[in-house]
This record gives sequence, structure tokens and C-alpha cells, in this order.
Amino acid sequence: MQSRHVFTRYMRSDSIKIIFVLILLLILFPELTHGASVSADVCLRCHAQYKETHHDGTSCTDCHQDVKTVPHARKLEKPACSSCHKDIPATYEKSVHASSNLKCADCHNVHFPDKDKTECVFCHTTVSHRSLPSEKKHLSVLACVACHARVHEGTVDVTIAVKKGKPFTRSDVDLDNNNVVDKDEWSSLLGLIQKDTYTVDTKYASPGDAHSIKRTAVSCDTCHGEKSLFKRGVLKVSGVASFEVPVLPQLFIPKLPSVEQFKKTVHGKRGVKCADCHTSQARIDDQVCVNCHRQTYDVYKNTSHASSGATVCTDCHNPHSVTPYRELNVTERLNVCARCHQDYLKRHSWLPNAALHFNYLECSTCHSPKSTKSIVFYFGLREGTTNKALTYADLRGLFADASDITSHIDINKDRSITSQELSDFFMELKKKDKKDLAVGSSIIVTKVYHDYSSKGTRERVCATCHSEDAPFYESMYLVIPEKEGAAYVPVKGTTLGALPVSLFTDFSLLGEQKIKGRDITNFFKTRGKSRSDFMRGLGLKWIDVLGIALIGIILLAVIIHILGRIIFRR
Amino acid sequence: MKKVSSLYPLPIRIWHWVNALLFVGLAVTGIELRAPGFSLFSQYGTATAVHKYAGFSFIISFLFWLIWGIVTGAMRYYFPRGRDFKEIPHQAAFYLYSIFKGAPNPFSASEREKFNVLQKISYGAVMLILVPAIAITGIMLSDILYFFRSINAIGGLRILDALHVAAAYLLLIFLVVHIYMATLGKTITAYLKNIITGK
Repeated sequence: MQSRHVFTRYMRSDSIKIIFVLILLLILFPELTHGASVSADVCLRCHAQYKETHHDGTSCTDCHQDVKTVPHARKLEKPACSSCHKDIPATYEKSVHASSNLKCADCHNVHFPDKDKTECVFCHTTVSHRSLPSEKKHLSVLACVACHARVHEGTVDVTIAVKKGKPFTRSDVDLDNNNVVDKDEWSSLLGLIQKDTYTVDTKYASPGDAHSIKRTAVSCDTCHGEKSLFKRGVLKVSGVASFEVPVLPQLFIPKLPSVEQFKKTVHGKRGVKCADCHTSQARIDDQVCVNCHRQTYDVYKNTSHASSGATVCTDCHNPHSVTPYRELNVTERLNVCARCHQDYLKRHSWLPNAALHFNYLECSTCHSPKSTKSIVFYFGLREGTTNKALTYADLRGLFADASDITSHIDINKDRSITSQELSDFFMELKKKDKKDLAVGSSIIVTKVYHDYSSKGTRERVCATCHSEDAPFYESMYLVIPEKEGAAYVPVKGTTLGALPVSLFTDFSLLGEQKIKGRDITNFFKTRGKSRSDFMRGLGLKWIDVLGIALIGIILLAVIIHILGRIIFRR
Repeated sequence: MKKVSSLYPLPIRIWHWVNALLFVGLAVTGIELRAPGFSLFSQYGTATAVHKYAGFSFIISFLFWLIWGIVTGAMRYYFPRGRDFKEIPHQAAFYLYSIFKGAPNPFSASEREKFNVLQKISYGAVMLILVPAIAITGIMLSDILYFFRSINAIGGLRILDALHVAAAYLLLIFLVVHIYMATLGKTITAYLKNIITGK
């Protein structure tokens, strides 16, 4: 009785009661021993629909952390995925989906993975890739993320199934035993096995990070350029032989050599993308060019050159090597035409000094009468019979501040070049170790009118150009190489005035040496400043003035002599 | 005056007139090339071509004269000798003064001395300095690309052109004086007859 009495007394103590209840609870609900969490089994008693949910071994409360007890609050907070997936937000924040305010759960269904919407097609039901060249091929072998997301490295898996023929070994394929099949070895393999006895299946794996999807896809050169994304390839042989050997992935990705080059062209520099023009694999036609060059096309399409010669733009213009026309020198311009008109020298046999003419003229000087022509001068180094124009790279090193070469020439900043400025710069360059420096010149088209149908037969008039009155003497430019390309800065005065004989003795052009009546009258009329300007522009024509004066004096003497003979009857 | 059987042999007479024709042709086309305001041919291109080929012919004609002169020894007529220089004042005085008084020419042409001292100096300078100069510069101008290095060596196209033109003016002056002085014989046409008939 004593012991029972003691028990009863203890039971009466409240603190003991509480401890007892707690122990009882722990026995009944063991999950309560794990801190404050509630076990999944407990959750599933109510939320049976999540029975099949597996999120990489996590428990319900790993995500629903605000469930500390059961029953829990009616409204729970949304789980933060980033508490575990720590790296993803940084990438995702920059993606196009984040900017469209899509949350994790918009694509990922944590409770029912089979109801995930991570396949792009869930949202992007109609994916138009009309601007993608070889649309079907690309879409059939590549996942969306291959182009639209960040990919670290792609691999090419090539399976060649050889059904018949002699078995062969790895060393029959990797002939040089360098552990990779190159182009020659691949050709040799295809020669080894019989035609129609094999199939080749190529798979392109380019696992992209779907969280990094950008608005625009990568450009063609990501895969088809010099540095392809696809760095590894595996050739799997099955059928009569069975082995694997690494293979150069480039063998299975057509390389577009022009892609690198294209970035340097005027199209590339101005942000024209491959797919802006290459809407299919078909040859680019005029309708593509017309999108931007409508005005030029409208002129050209009605000319006879368009109907019987170069019928499409690309016959003359290579969009991958297109340099702004103003950057081309005379020879380069000539070569555009000479691709077809190879016999141009023969056809100009009527032209005296034909080869010499073509050192200084482009075809359209005569054959495009409506184009505007100008004399352009440039600083060059003598090289054979021509002058090699100095480039920006040549001049850059000569000046402390080479951001703008023009400012070193156009000292008074009036955006035109005077004789003094030209001479000063010439002398300055000469001092800077450019001993072979010369001023080159050419007559080129400075404003193109795209009609080349004039056969020029009526233009066989030398005096059209060989005259001081030739139209291009009104328009003279100094071409100055700048970082961004050639700057055409107008030159003031006359050719001889701008390029005085005292400095530029090796320079001679067409009409400026012709003597005119006004040269003789002005020789006697001009005074002061206009006299010095006149003499500068007269150049070596003072020889004519002197010569004509001497002949006049001699004739006068002859007349006096004749008079003398008449008077004295001798 | 001593009777000379043939002062000017036939080949030299033919050469003289061929040369004269070429000279005038070159002068006229040359003026057209230099002064576009003056035009003989309606086409500048024709003038260029005529000038070029007349120029080559002129050079052949010059070479004939040179070889003839060296081979036959006629070249000696063009070189004034020491005592000739004393004659300069007399000869000049004749042309400028005594000719009006009807004085005889202090010089008379002979087999031994065909030209007076002033003729020697002027013909010599023309044939041995000016003509070679204009011929060489002309050849260079006929194919600028081919002679590019040589052209640069003498200072460039502008200088080459200037030399050619300067020689041309001097030759034109010579032509005027030569034609006029051809009328200063005993009769106005006496010298003309000489160079046509050789007598």
C-alpha cells in the first residue's frame, strides 16, 4: 500500500503529468523527434495525391518549411526553390523568360514531374523558323536550347551501321593511330565499305542551359565558324564490326568560311545577321537585296546591263566580301567589272596608253555617264608603276594622337584641304621616314548611278577628260584613311594650285598642263595675292608663256626685217 | 661664187623635206595637244596618234641624218672651228645691218664649208641637242608605264612634260627663223632652189 500511495502522490504532481504526456506522444508520433518537422507520412494522411512525388529524396517540409506542426496553418508560404538551387537564379534572372515574369513553377511541376512544362513546345506551340536556313535539318537534329541557350560544349555522335562486308577493326579506321578519325580517314572508311551496305546516323548533342535562354538565338558561326561549339565527336561502328573511336566533329558540320570574313564587311559591321538574308539555302536573289537597296535596284533593273549581263546583284557584288564602294581603290573597282569583262584591255586597243589609263580610271568613269566623278588624291608610297595608298595602320603610328588623321591635315578645321595644308602634311610625312611618299590620284565615281549600259563608243573623245574643263576638276577630294574607313575631304582650288609643281613634280593629270588664252592674259593682268595664286596654279605653264612671248618677239623682228628689206629694196 | 656641183646631195635633200614635213606635222599636232583651244583635227585622239607616229618617223629621220653625217663625214659641217667664232660679228652684222645696204654675204657655201658660223651653231644646237632632247622625252611620253622608272629618275611626269614642251618652243622659234632666213639669198627663192635642186 505504501508503494501505491507513493505513485498516487507523484501522479498528483502537475509537472510529472506533463512529462508523461510528452513521452506518450513521442511513442505515438515518433516523427516529432526530428526537431520541429512533420514526416511525409503525416502529410500524406491528408495530401494523398502527392504519394508518387519524388523530388530527389526531399521530404515535404524540406520545401514547405513553415509546416512545423500538424495541423498546419491554412495558408502556407510558397517554397523558395533557390534555397536549394542556389546557382540557377543568377543565370535565370538574365533570361528572356525571367523578363517575362515566369516563375519556376510555370515550367516545373515539383509534385507531378510528368506534368512538367519544361518542353519548350508547351508554350511555343508554333515555332516559326522561316528565317533559319535549312530549317528542317536544323530542327530535326537540334534541341531548342542548342541555339537559344548557353551551351558549353556540343558533341557529335556518329553511328555507322555496316550490314554486310568484311569485318574491320579500329586500326583500319584510325590509320595513323592518333586516336581521332580525320577527314582523310573518314573518306578512306567510306571507301573501305561497300556502297549501300551501311547507314550513317548523326546526332548532335548540344546540352544547353534552359535557364539561360535569350531573346535571340546564337549566330550561325557558333557552330559553322572557325571555333565551333562542337568540340568532340564519337564514331560508333556497328554491324560487321563494333567499336568506338573519336572523330573530328567538323566533318559533320558544314563550315561556312565566309562567316568570319562577314563580320568585317560593311554588312557585318552594320549588324546584318546571316539569317537576315539567308532565309533559305537557296541562292540569294535580288528580292533579298531589295529589302535594303531598293533605290539602287530600281535604277539598275531597267538597264541593258541587267537584262543581258549581270542579271542579279550577286553577279557583281559578293555580300560576304562587300567593302564599302568608297573604300575600294581604282584597281579593286576595275576588278569588279573584269570578272566578266576580262578582255577589257583588248577592247580598249583604240585607246592610246590603255594600260596607263586603267591605272587611274575605273570602268564606270566612262560607262556610267550619270555617275558623279571626282579626282581623288591620296598619300601613297611608290611601288612599281603605281602608288600604294597609305592605310590607317601606316599613319597611326606616326602621330601621338591618331584618333583622327584628318585633324592633322586639315589644320584650320574647315573640313576642306588647301594647297598649304596638303604640302605641309606631305613634308611632315616625308620627314617621318616616308621617303618614297607620293601623292597618288585617280578619277573615280564618288556618287554611283547604277546604270552601266553605256557602251561608251560616243565617249571616245579624249578632250572630255583631257581638258581643264573636264567635269571632275570641279570635284577634288583627298582620301584620308581613318579608323572607321576612308574620309573624303574636299580639296580647294585647281589641281595645279593644290599640288604645286615645286613639290609634286611626279604628278601629272590630264588637263591641268594645257595652256589657255586666259593663262597668258592673266600672266600679265594679275597683281599681288591673286598673282601668287595664279603663278602657283600656272605651274610649269610659264614655259608656254615664255615660249609664246619669244615666238611673238621673233615674229616681230622678222616683220621689221622684212620692212627694212622693202624700204631698202633688197 | 664658185660653182658647186652638188651642195646638197639628193638623199640629204629628200631627208630635209621629209624632216620638214614631219616637223610641221609634229608642231601642229603638238600645239593641239598642248593648247586644246587650237585644233587641226576634230578629234584629240587623232592628234595624239598622228603626233605619236610622226614623232617615231621623225626619230627615224633623225637617225638617218646622224648616220649619214657620221658615215659621209658631213657631220663636220655642223661644228664651228676656232677661227669661225671671229666671224660671228661679221655674219651677225650682215643679217642685221649690211644686208639692207646690199652688201654681199660674207660667207658663201662651198663643198668645204656648207654653213656659216651662225648656221653651224644653230643647226648644231638643234640637231645635236634639241632634237635628241625632244626625241628622248617624246619616246618616254609615248609609253609612260614602260619608262616609269626613268621618268621618276628625271623628276617625274611634270618635269618630263616640261622638258618636251620647252624643247618644242625652242624648235618652233628655230623653224620661224629658219624659214625666214631661207629667203635671204641673192633672190628670195635662191636658197629654196638650192635645197630643192641641190645646186
